[in-house]
Amino acid sequence: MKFNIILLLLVFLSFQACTDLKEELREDLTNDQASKLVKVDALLLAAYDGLKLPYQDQSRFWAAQEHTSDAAMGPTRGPDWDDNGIWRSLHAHTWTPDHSFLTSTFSEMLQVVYSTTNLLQFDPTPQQAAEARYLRAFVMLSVLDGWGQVPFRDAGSSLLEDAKVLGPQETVDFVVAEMDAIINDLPAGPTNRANKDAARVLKMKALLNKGAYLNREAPTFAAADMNAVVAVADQLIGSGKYQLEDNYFDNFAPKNDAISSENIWTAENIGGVSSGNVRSRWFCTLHYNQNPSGWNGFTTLGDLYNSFEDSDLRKKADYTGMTDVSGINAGFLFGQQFDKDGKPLQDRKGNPLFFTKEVAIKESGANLEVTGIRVIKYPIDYKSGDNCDNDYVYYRYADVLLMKAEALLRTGQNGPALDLVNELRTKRGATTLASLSAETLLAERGRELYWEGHRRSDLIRFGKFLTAWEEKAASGKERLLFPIPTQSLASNPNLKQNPGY
Amino acid sequence: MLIASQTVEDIAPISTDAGFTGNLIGQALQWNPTVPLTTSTGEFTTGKNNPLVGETTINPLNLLDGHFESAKTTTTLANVSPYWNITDNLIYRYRLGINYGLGNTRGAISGKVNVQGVTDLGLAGMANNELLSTIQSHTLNYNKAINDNITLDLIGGYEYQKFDFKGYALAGRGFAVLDFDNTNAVQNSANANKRFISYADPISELQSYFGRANIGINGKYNITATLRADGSSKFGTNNKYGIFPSLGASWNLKAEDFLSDSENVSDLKLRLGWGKTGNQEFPAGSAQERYGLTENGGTILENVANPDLKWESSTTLNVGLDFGLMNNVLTGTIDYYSRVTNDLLLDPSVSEPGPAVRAWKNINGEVANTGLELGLNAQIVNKANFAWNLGGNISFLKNEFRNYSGPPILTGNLFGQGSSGAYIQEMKNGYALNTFFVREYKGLDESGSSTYTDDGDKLYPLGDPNANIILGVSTGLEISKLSFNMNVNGAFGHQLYNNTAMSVIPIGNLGNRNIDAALLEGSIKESTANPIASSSRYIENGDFVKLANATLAYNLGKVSKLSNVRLSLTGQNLLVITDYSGFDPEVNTVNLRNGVPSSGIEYIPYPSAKSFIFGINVSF
Repeated sequence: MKFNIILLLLVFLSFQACTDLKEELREDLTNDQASKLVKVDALLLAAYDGLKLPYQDQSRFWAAQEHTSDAAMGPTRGPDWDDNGIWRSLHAHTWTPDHSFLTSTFSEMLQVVYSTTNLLQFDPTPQQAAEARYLRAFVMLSVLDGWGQVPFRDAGSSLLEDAKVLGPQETVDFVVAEMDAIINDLPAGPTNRANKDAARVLKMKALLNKGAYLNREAPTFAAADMNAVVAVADQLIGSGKYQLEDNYFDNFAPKNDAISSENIWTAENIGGVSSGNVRSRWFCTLHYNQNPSGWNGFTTLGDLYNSFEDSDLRKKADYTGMTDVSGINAGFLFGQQFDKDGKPLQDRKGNPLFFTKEVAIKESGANLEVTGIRVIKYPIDYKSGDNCDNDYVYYRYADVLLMKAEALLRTGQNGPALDLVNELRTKRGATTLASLSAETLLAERGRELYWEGHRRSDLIRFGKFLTAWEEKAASGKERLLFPIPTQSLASNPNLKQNPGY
Repeated sequence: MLIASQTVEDIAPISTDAGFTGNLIGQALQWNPTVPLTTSTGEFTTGKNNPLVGETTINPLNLLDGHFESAKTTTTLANVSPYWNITDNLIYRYRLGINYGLGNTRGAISGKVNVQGVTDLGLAGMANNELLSTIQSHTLNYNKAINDNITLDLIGGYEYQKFDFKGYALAGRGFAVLDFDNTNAVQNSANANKRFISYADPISELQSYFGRANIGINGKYNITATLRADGSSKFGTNNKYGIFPSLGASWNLKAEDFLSDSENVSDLKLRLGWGKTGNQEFPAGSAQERYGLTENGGTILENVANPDLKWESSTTLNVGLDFGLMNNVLTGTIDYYSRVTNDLLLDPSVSEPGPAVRAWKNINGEVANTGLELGLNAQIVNKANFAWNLGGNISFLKNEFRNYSGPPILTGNLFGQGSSGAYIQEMKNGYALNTFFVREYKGLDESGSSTYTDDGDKLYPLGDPNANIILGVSTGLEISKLSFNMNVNGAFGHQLYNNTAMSVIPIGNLGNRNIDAALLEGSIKESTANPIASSSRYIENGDFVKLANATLAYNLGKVSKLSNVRLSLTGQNLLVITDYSGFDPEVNTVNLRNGVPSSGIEYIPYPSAKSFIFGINVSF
């Protein structure tokens, strides 16, 4: 009997355990607990930080814009840099929907769309809301530029529901309307925060490219859009806030937030403290035996190099703080390379470190280490360690002038367009042009904006993206858009694969 | 009942997701065989004292010497199971089981090893995990022979399980003294390089109500029906419970009049079964919205709620025949089964635009497994001083992922040099699970570079890691006091991917590191500049036959005051017959992509050991 009493006691105790199966969190918080801790400033900062990887990393949107163009290539160098063809497929226009860099770029950019939209739920100030909406529109235009479809959710909608998808017209209309709506709430500066002028340039970009976004195979440009581009450009020119820089490379150098008078919208990188991967711009191209020891990867192509006059400051210039430290010049690195004392450098096999114009997409020869002209757009920061002080440049004044010239040209105003281009060329140490055509304007954009992440969009807008160039055959029209990544298609049935993939 | 145990294991530095510097196995494979591992003065050879060794190359002997890791696991099990015979036919039983496991790991890498980020600094850390699981059940069992012909057995019950997992880890890097066991003084590491974390999964609970009825008729027919309602705290609020019925029937033909007298047929039974089972193997906390705390006091969305998340279920249909012939000298079974798994649990990314999180979902599509299994066992000789039996089983298997409408689910990430972002397996509608989708390798061109169909731009289904045939043979021989037992197993019709050959010993190593000798055998010389790329080149047939173990024993019988003494010698993993060029065809390193399981990929695993065990069994 005693045994049964113990048993009954155990039964009684154990029935206490009968449960409603509610799961209690221990290391994490519920929505209610978390929303009390949210600080809008922190969310906004996180949204700015969210731009760093997809724009500054060498394998993200920059690669999508430059490697796919006539300005950059990531050749396979024997056992190095093949990475299962991931770089080659960009330049050769043979990428697939599973291209992991394009997949990551798409996904990371849309994370910014999420985080900026999410922020709007937490009662931001008008300026905080305007900054978040600027970042969102900026990213959405990039996604439209790359993929032609922009998944979008309104603030507060469930993440389990499939996002709606905005097409080209809807996205351009959205971006333009957003810029008009937020401009009064945006601050005037600095350049590395969403600001009024950044909103103006974004609107120009949306309108200038609209014709190409609506019809990539045969873009047409409405006069009203072009006139609007010119009007916004005139506002920026008339403000007197910006001048073309005497030293072209000051725009990209350490402390460019203080010394450049050209930059309009940049990403803040704080030397020694926090930065995006801007250092990859020089690491990806420098040879192992240069200072710093690079990854010996990307090059530009001979035709772009050959299109510069020798007097052009954009082609090659010593830069104080870099050339005196390492012997490396700004601009293009062609021919024999030297250290800071002028001593010729050698490659790892002991041959002269002599960068050649000739470069194949698949290098296998004895000189595979040294083929291809290297590019230093951002003067190297030797003082700040891994976190470099060069703010990353999204938009600058020279681009505004060239966009105005393009809008003038597209509305038949060749004379004023030519003046603008020649004003820029003179400042850069190049001779003036006698006349201006679409072709010469595209080439000038190539010289002014090389390796800044605009080239693919420019080639599409000028109808040249599918043509053959060095180490690339003519490509099919499906290449005017990137494929929607497989994993994105899997998670959202509202996305449709772009034709041809 | 109370059982306590403790095991201590020394762990070698062998991770299977190592990057280009590899793990200990990879470093040993790559080491230039013409360079001694130590210098004439007894130091470890590195790039610093020998120009033939690359700067980033890690001396495996140096790593083994400078690496220390010890894992201690303590387990305590307690069980009580009282019962109460309420009536002659009705029994109430209560069961309480508690299992407490504590894992404690301490490890260090000396600053004298050439590992990036550790050299001249040293790394030391420790981790502690504990899991407390409790199970309680109440069952009522009613058992009655209704009449001479019918027996009834009914069970109803309730079961509750609880799992509580938590732990912490701490580590430091940058020690002033390198020749010291820094795990004993982690606090002396550089302040900027001290790390500590702690974690606790949500407590997860399982609660089940179940009933089972079994009726036996005439000793010929037997029918069993069960019904379970299983609830798990891990699922979404709308779908905590899954209902899992099963039905089994058997017919003992031997008991029928037409066979009962048969001398040739000593046993014959037909079985039929149908049932559903559930799976809830995914992390706790996956169905609800969760926010993590960040260092600066902010929060970040870590998981998206899915209130509809429900049990993954498998439905199995099984038909079987058991037989014994000639006084059970020959016995055997034949089984056919078909198992279909639905509502697969996976965690794909949330529909963009979203935060950087994934969400667990039940995806559409199903995994179908069908199999035919044959087993035969023969007592060839059965005499007092001489007995010999021989048994074998063979299974024919088929696996398909079907009725899936989404795009392929990618997995099978490769590791090592030249593998950034590369994957080789897909879950694709109409194909076997984890089918290899790779470039089709077409040999070397005259310059010694790899060529591929479509220039390597297209991936083809060129292999299947699921075996079609699995074979087992066992035999036992007893001659007087001597006995011999042997088990052989094998698998056929599947392919393996040799990521080790691709990334650890490629031709590009030639000059300062070791390569696969087979690379020098072909008529065309492979260029040392030939890039490393995943392709069908590294897919190999996985067919094998393995002598898994063999035991030779001698029974001395009674020896002086000892009642029985038996000597035995057992060998394990004695012989493998295979064309597979890697370590072991029974390989599966973990090559997940976004948490999706992979299979049949080898990447520098711990080689399987061949072991011999000598045993003396003594009874008093």
